[in-house]
Amino acid sequence: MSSLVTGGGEKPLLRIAMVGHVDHGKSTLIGRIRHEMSTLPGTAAVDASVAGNWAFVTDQLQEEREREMTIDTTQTFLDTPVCRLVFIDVPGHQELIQNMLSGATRADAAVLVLAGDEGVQVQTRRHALLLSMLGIKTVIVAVNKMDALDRREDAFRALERTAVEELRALGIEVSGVIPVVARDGDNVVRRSEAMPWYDGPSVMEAIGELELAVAPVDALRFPVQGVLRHDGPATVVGRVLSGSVAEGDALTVCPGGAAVTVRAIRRFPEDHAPAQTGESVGLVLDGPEPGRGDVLAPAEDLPQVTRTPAGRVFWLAEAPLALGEELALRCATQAVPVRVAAIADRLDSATLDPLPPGEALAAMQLGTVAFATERAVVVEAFDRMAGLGRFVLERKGTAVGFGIVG
Amino acid sequence: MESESIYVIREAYSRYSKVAMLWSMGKDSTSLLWLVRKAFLGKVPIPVIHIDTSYKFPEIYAFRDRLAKEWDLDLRIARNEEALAAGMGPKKIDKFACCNALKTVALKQAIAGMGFEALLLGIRRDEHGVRAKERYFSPRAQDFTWNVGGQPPELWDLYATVDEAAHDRIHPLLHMTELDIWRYVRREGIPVNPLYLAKDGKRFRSIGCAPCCAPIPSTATTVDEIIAELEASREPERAGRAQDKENAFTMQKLRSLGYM
Repeated sequence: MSSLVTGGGEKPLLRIAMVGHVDHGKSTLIGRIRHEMSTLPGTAAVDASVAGNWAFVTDQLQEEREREMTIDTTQTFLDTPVCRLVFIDVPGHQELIQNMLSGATRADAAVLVLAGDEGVQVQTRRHALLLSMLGIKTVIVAVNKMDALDRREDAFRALERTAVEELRALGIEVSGVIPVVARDGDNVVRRSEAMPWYDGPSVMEAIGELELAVAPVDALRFPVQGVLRHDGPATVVGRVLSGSVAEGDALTVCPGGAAVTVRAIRRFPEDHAPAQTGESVGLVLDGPEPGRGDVLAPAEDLPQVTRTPAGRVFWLAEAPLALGEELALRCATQAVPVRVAAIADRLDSATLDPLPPGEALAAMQLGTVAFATERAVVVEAFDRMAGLGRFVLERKGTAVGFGIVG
Repeated sequence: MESESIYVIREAYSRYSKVAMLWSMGKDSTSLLWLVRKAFLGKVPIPVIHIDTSYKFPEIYAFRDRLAKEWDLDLRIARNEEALAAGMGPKKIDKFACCNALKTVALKQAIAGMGFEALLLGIRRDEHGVRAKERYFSPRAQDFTWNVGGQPPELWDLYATVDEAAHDRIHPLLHMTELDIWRYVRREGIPVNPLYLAKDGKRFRSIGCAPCCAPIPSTATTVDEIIAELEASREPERAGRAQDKENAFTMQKLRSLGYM
């Protein structure tokens, strides 16, 4: 799981995806938050013409406003005194799941919006499943449209129980369930007086109290992006995925296994060492020169090197993934041709029910896929090293599915 | 934030053989240019294109020529000479047609002439509601159109577009806000175009073509003062830009035709 990003003494950054079924009020909730928080210094006021139709704060495309539906993912920013918040709005419609993922893969935490009058729907479940796969396990549930339930406590408690149970089954421990009327602002930023039976935090208060898990290991992982040869010695550039690297460090180039030593750490305008997690730097190495896709790691703690990678795969494209198909697997800076060797444990993401054994994965289906490749790839269990535990499958340069290494 | 931008820039450089960047000499694309220098340890290994409408402020041209020399840039100037010869300008027809002819068409001509596969641009999500929907790697069709509703998925930082794209737009500053940029300018000591600094009680918050940009009332004469002013302001950044105001969906139309 991503940790709070605090590079360079900046305030912590917290990116929150709003997920849930179509028309349950994700954009309305973001718009309402944005409106009420625009008293913050440095925050532009919300355009007065959207008052009451808060979804228009993020739904700025002509088609989105005409159809009153989010089509593409949007990010909106709030600079609070304690942290920088990024709200990621995503479409709830099932045909737009790729846009949902483009937003959700950038999130640290999520608010699952559930309309009180409709309860858990297909996309509620599918989005929750995707959060679980993406390792986003810090989730607040906002039960919206409480006005349609006359703001009644018994109706809320029933929904709360269902939501908590369904999410727990996916490995998500809910950080709070909040009764909300996003349109009117009940329990959005301020606590609602119209639901006196609820004494918990508002959505914004709950967000302020979130604590994110920190990455469990700090062994160095340095995926090589490329090699610069402008002048002087060749410089291997990349971003430190995990751990830190200092001059004199002895490292192994994966998957090849060559030994190298760090001679210098290069930056502009001035070199300084060491390089910490998240920093983009250049390394001058003694030893055989690595290339794009290689991963540098310490000999005593190496990632997995394999010709048979496997993972839980969620399929996106209309044309199914078939046994024997050849496609490209991308992981960190690697891009490797792979062949589908086995498909097992298929699941329907709408119902979360298992599917009978089959030799293909259709759109919106999930399965455990084993691949075979000529070239060894470097991977790691997602829970241990997220950046080497997630991959994208590409056909003709377009992402058609993604996977998580178990 | 800086590391993310550098990562995106290096991904673009590693994955395309012909890459260039657009530079308007504004605070965003100048910060982008600075980040390119950081990504490549002091060098700018790609051509830098200025789309010159000829209506820019004189201060913009002076700033361009100074940095081009100091930073050893491979500067290419793109102008739609045909439209300029025919007298195209913001007063001639409407602003939409002018922006389209002098910016989008000039860019099309430059890309066709120089054969670029990918272009780095300094746009940011918080600038405009339509730009908030952009991806880091964003494909453009042969006719330059942007299919905003049907963008390919962009999962984590495993950037991908589509093989059949005519060119890809790369947006390394997407996650930065206006205040982030100014704080970054201050931290790094990036040169600032003098138009941003107040003179006679006015300064430009967003700069482009002289006829279509209005200054805002301001007393900020240093980057520190600009930051303090923005921290207290509730006005949107592009309030002084004509194009955005004329029609709610003008930006979307311009962008779907290939505008930056």
